[in-house]
Amino acid sequence: MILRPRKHDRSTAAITRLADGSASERERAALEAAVARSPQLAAELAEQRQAVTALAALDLQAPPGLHARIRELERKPASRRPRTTRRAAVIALAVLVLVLVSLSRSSGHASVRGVIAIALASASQPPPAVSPRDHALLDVAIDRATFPNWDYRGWRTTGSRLDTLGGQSVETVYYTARGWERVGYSIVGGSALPVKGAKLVLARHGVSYWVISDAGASVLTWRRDGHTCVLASHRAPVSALLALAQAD
Amino acid sequence: MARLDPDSLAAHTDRLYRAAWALCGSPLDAEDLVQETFARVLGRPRFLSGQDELAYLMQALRNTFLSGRRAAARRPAVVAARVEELSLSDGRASTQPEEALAAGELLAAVAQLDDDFRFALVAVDILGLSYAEAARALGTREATITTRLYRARQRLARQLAPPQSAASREGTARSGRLIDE
Repeated sequence: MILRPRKHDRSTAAITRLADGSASERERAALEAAVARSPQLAAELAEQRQAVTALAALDLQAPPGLHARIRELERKPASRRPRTTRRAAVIALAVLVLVLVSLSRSSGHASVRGVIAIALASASQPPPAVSPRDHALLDVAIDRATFPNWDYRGWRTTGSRLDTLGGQSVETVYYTARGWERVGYSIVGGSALPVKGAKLVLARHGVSYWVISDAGASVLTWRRDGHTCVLASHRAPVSALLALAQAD
Repeated sequence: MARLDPDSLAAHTDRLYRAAWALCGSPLDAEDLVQETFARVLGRPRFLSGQDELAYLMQALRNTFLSGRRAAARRPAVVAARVEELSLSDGRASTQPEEALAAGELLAAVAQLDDDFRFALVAVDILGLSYAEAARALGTREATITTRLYRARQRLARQLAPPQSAASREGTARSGRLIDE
């Protein structure tokens, strides 16, 4: 004896529609009568309704930063998006408060761990434009430390944010490769931060690259022109971060 | 043929974000997917051939998602011997803070469904399209959408159910819905 699931039939279609209220009056009356007679149909209907109800109850709102970036896209063609100024500053301020509140509980000064949290967070501003003077760079910098344009490597900028951590500014640009590997690149303004609990993975051209173990993420940090740089990603492997960092 | 009004699209951002999260299984990826979808749609004038705006966006979201995934599959992995040699532990799979939230768990469960089931569920139960609109957006028949939706909801409900009740339901289904051959 071989058992296999019953094929799609009218009652399956009717149960599907009854569960979400899209069944016709005739279907509904007939099926409700059938359900009342059959515990199996009643169980199937309950299962369908459980899924419908759970999904209907979803009340997730898109983050404010995404709304802002969509509005920006509506205003300008994607290829010519400028950075927002005042509105972005308001959003950045709100994010700053959240970050400071969450981080001030554990530390009163900037730390690489805090920068990693920012690099893995959501963007709050549109992506910066490409620098008009040098297409290999983006039109954003912190203390003259610029961000690279990795478009030629298949990494497109998707957003940015500016935070203050323990009195030091942290500028972050988010890049995405096709396929949704997302990388956050943060540069800390002011003096470099001490690196603790990191493992040296590469020293080249006078630059030391360190990997930090952070649960759930790949993290690479190094110093450029005296500034702490952090590349972090939930999906991209450390090897990809290292390749990007060396191209910086 | 009506032209898609760019100014009205932002009203759909929240729903599209939930749909994108259900496709990607991650809120950060969802943000990027929604942004990329809007960037594509707004990149040039678009026309609705009898479609609802939201159905058009569902189609665009699905296409953007699939093309991104195909591109990721084609891209060769970057290898850095020095890093590989260190055997760095990568705990990415073990920690996803957003899954601690009920909504995150639900959408992560949806993201684990097979593509066809997931697209049908997202179109009808998350975006709120009619069966006919969903069929058109996904390029299939209405009857197929109905079947996929049934299966998707069934799998989702069983995935979310406590192990004991899932096993019990499975037993009921086996005894009642299987046929001799």
